[in-house]
Amino acid sequence: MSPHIRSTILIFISTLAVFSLLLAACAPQATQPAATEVTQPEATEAPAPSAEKTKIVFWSHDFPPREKLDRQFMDKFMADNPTIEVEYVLGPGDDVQYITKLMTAFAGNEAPDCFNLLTFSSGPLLSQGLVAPVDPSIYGFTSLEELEKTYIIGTLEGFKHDGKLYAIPSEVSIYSLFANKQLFADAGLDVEVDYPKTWEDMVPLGQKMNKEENGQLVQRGFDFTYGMADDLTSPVLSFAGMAYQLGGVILNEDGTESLVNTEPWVKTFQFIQDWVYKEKLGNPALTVSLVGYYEGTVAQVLSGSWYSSYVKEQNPAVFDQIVVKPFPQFKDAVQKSGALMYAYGLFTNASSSPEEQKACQMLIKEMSDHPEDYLRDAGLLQSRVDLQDTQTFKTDPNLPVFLKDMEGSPYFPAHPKAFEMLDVLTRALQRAVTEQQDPQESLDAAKAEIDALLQNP
Amino acid sequence: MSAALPSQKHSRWNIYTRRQLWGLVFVLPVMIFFAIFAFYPMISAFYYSLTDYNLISPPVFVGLKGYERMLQDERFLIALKNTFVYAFGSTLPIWLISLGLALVFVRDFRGRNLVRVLYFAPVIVSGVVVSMVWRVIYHPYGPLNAVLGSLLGIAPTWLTSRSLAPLAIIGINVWQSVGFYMIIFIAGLQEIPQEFYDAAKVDGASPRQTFWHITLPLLKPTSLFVLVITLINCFQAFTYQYVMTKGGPSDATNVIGLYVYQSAFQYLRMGYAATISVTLFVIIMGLTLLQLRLVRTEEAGYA
Repeated sequence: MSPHIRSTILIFISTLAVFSLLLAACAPQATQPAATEVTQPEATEAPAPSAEKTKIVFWSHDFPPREKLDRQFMDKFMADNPTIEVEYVLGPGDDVQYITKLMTAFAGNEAPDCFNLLTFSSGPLLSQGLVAPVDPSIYGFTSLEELEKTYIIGTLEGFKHDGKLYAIPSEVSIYSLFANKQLFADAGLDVEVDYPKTWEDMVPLGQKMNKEENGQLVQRGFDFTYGMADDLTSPVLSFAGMAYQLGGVILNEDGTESLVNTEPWVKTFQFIQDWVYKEKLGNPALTVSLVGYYEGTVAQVLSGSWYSSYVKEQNPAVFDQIVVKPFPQFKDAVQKSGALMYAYGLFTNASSSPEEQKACQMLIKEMSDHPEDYLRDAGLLQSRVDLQDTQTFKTDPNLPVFLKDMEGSPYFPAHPKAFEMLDVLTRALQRAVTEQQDPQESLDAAKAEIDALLQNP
Repeated sequence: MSAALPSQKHSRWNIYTRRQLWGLVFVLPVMIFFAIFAFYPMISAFYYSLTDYNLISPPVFVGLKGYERMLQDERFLIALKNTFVYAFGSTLPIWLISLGLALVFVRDFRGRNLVRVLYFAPVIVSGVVVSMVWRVIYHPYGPLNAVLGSLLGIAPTWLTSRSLAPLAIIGINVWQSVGFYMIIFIAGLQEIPQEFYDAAKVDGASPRQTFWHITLPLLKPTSLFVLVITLINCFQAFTYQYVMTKGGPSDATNVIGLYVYQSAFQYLRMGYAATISVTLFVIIMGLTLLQLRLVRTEEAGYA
């Protein structure tokens, strides 16, 4: 190496080192919130609003059907509470981009006072005490238990941490079985009678409904999602739900060890692998099933209530054929359940002033008081018990299926490493269905990866 | 004379200094821009690579622990291996094909410019668009398999096979890049003085001898440039892998650029993402220094 290049490198490295040391010296000291006990606020009498106007900032990801309703109820809220002013900020519609923006705002002490957030992503905020618990008095209740009774059992669990509730759901979702009535009829079947009740039923049904032309599979009776590049949903929520029916859970009770290589998981992976290789009823290389469904080439898929409006936009003809049926069960299931649930919730920033926090919680109450409007105009399911008495709910035969599937179904854990766990499990499935790796071997590797994540926070 | 000298010197110094100052004034805005938007983020990345940082808590200085962890991280090692396979797997075909095309299209023939434009066209299309189009081409029932099926009776699953997906992505990179490097090679070929070819002709050299003993040696600086720039671009790979496979199936096409993105924005491990970025920077810096050294050796050889 020439002396010129050597000296250039030396100067460069020295500059880097000096600047790094300067940065290290100037960097803010770790100001982790003091490890104080966070308590669910006791139901108290609301303090009289101060004469000064309280301004709060509310963030949500972009979803046009909901935006109109959000603005409508915010305007109403400000009219009812003239001392509170709400600034509504829409972030990117893409979850990862939205979360990045929100976390960056937290990093720069510019986080909104209240915000909408996916359960998977709330783990870091919950574990670091950056969000405030829900105050039941805002809702007119004297305890959290009373508030919980107004929601369908289990649907608030995704927002709980250490026994306290930190958000009110703006959307609760679970995957149920979308069937195409016409494709059933074309195969000489009646969807109301012949839909698969068990996973084992799915195999003969698939054999009956699959169609081949010139050696190509042109119609599939059902197919899973496999986490490929353009999949619309995560496969994990479905197969973890299948494993849960057999008694399989992702983590042990204290969250210190992964249990994804246990028998229920292996059996689930074996079923999906057989679906692809032994029965040849599905294939991860083909057009993803949720796209195939609205194209009319896949008769059944697993998805959430929001998928109906998506299908309507893509292909109204198929939308008219949608029939939603319960998530199939394994014949030897030890517990009746659907897929794992996920949700978006309305959170309050713990570092906002007490007035701002209170204003946020009042706003969140206002926004969660209109579940029928959100269901009718935006297709979003807010899991309030009284939603079931509304006209919109009663006239749509598909909606009760989702609520029924939620009974007994757990949430995917709101763990700080939730996104990484989802990735680990997706890759495990891909090894089983694209390389035909032994399910036990693939899940053993997944367990080792998740355990490493748990040990290295 | 003796009285005039200091004054002349003084005046020259003034002119020299004034020129330098004006030069500095003109360069200063760009220097400030680079300092703020290039050097500061780079130095920050180096600092963050020594911290544990998840965006919502302040960074905690951990020294070289991130680097230690990186060397034990199986996913990083897979991404590193995939990046090397992608880089070296792309570079050789790009080099050979673009040189071959340049040798053909440097000659004068009817419609030459149109054909050059056609070969260059993929370069101006966005990588995202190219990826979407090739996803259709690589579909199990797509046009590529239709041809392979009728000729060879095979229908590979290009993007869901762990062994084929990396090759499929290399194929797209080669297809999209050769037009650009062909133009660079054409420029290099046009720089070679015609006298050398005339002299070779007079001496009775065959076309093959002319290529091996005149064209290739005189094209060496261009060849080195193409080689190194291709490698650097490949080490920064992201778009094809992100759009076509998201790094799958099961990390088979994951590359360092994509793993940095996943670590930073999906897993919120900013410190670790910075660690990997700095490592990538060192690799690319090494390649750049290698290029500088090779070019300098080459220049010394000519001198």
